[in-house]
Amino acid sequence: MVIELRTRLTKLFPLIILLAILFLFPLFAPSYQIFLLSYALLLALTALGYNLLFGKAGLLSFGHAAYFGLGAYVPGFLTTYTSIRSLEIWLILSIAVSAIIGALIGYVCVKYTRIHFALLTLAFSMMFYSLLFKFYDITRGDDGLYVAIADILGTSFKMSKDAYIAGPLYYATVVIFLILVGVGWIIYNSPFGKTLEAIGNNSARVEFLGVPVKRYKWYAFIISSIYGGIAGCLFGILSGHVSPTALHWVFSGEIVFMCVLGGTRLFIGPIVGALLFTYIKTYTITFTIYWQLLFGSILVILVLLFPKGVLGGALTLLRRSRGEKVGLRT
Amino acid sequence: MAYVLECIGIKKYFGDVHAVDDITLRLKTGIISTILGPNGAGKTTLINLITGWLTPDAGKIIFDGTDITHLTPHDRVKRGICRSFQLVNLFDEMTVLDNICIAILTRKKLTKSLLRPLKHYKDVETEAYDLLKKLGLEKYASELAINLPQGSRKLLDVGLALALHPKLLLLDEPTSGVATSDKTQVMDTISSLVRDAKVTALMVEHDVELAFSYSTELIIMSQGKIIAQGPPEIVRKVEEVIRLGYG
Amino acid sequence: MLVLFSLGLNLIFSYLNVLNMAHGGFYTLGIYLSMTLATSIALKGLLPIQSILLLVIVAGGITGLLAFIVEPLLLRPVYIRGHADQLLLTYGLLLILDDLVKLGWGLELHSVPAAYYFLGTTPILGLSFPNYNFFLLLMSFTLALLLWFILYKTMFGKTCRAIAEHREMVSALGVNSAKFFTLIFAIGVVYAGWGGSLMMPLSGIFPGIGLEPLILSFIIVATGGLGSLKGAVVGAFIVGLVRSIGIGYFPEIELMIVYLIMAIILLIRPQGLFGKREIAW
Repeated sequence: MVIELRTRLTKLFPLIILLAILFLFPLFAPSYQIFLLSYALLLALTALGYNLLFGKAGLLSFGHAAYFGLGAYVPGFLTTYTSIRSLEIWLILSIAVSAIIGALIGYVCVKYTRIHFALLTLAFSMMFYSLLFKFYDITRGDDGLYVAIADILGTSFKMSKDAYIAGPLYYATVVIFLILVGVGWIIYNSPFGKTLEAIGNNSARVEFLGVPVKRYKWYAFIISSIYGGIAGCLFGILSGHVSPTALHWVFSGEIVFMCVLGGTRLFIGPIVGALLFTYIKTYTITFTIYWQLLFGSILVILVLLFPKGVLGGALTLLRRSRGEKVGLRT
Repeated sequence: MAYVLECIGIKKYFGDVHAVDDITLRLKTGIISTILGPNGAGKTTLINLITGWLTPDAGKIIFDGTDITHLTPHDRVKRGICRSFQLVNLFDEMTVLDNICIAILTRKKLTKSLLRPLKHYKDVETEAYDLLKKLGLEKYASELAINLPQGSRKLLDVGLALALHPKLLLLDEPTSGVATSDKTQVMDTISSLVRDAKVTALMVEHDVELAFSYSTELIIMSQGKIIAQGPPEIVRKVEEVIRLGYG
Repeated sequence: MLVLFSLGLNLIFSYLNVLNMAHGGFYTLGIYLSMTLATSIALKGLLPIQSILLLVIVAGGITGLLAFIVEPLLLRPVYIRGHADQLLLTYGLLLILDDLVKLGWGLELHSVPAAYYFLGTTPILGLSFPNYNFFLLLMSFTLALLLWFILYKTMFGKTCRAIAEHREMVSALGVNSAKFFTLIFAIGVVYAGWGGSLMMPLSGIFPGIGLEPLILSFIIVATGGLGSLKGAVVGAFIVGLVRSIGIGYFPEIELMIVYLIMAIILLIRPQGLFGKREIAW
């Protein structure tokens, strides 16, 4: 009994440390770092939701930025055209918007196979991009919309933007992040998640077992859109401003890259990938104007050396050193 | 019902080719029936017609008393017609245990369950493990399916179909690609499982000796038609069968 | 010009089964190379048409040479991996190429419209059409024809098509498919470079210029059909047409219409207008 407890604690120990760091972060970090971490966490959420579709079900969507972006525009519209400032309402509306649009677009797209699926999702996301871009009167086009400081749990915050980001917003982000990661973990390991994994492995056989594969792909699509929408909403508040770039296909591509970078076959792969991606990109940008060269080279090297992503590669090395056999992609 | 499956006047043409040419076939419940025949006889086409992958150009298929001729493959699976595949069709990047679990989850209609971890459903894993033991594959439980030797992969493929608790199990060349020394073992396992579960099995095989040893009944096909159907000892004496080389 | 770019992209996808994001980078390179050549040749006082042709050929040539380094080193390892990995790799390559251009030529916007005006204009129906546009059309047409010729009328082309469809069989016959892959990639990329260099006089020249043709090309290839070169040409015309009409009458949503049409075509005919059925992916 005592031994069991001890092993449990040893396993949980790194997790406890991480949680401690997360919660105590604002106490010792400068506000820029807090901003960066919040941003990275939101991208991690987006990537995590996306990986349900991509890593598990094997669907390469190239238009995921749309849900993030639309989720970000909700607070933008609400700030500009209404006086609603409650974070809860913003979140609920972002969820609604991304879920509905995800459901509509997903319904159409899942009828198609991979590359056509990818191109269709790309087309739809760019349509939204163009819409937001061109209808200047409503959306202020390229200038974008301003997002106000949100009231959290009914409390209004009359403080500087910096203090808000380093304080209430950060903690709200962390809490939401942890909740969604927890929910994500349960979904990943649920029968539904396993079924998605089977679909990603061999959708024909799953069909032969009697499962309506397209419908399940649709469900995964909606769930991943919702994750994107929530992350986008918080992002809008974090940056204080939204513009159509949040929906651009390049960003969609970056989401994919984050997953592949970290490793699509592991639950925390996309999270690690998103964190790595954000920090590497930020630091290479500040390091040199030729950041694309550095970043592109890192990407190329990582892809060549780590076919299963950084974590996947590490895991493979670990397994090999133990003498276990390794699959091609897992 | 004495007959679990009745195919009446089934025809399937691909252009000029009479892949299945006016076949009438009745399977009694609980037997192991094997289809033998040269390549191109129409064996796999027949299996595809029964599973619903292909629709017949003429004729009726009656399963357990119901006309299923126009049912989708989906619906047929739900009614209890399951198949294993000639080219092994597994979830390669998942563990052997998971492979079986997926089938069981489907059968139990649990696949939509989102918010409970799989571990919550202890009986699923237990059942999967039991089936693996019966298949002799329990030592591979945490291995990825892709790492298994071919004979075991074939068994797993059959296991996936069995996990669905079918009434009719269609086996498409269960020993193809298996090393000759392992073939008997594979067939032993399959036939004992089938008998224990009281499942009716319809097999397509190439190995004549295996077919003779393990089947209650043989069906010899050639050029889209059934030449002979009956217990092995009787069938092997039919003239045409001898001519085809299956005597 | 978009035609050439899309032909190259489609070529690489049909034969190598790789979606080459870096194609935009090669286009950019083509533009920059010909810009440099143009400004140095202009001083030598060659006749306009000849200098332009020289430009194009040399720019294409250098781009092609680059391909010979890139393909074996970077692409070959990822042929067996999924498309996601390939996209990642070629995207990384795109970033690298973009910055190489920055390193070589700086960050400012350039423009060399000289060649554009060199050829003069022709009055048609009261409007003066720049002759360069005709030249562009002619060159695009000729080069497209050249590609068709290479692929369908030469032994080389036939071998390439055989390799694309039956890889194992062809290597059993003793053909070194790896070399062919490199050549195909080189040709595809050269077409991107040619597209760039031909567009050079009409285009603003800055790092990242290749991004717009890239996305438009994806649309073209998708609408025209993956795996079909004829489709790439038709697709390019459709997109070009839609954009011109769009810019003329509905400037706000012109880009969106292009995407909408692509979506509609994909929905009705997922393989594009001329594409082959399911390309295994």
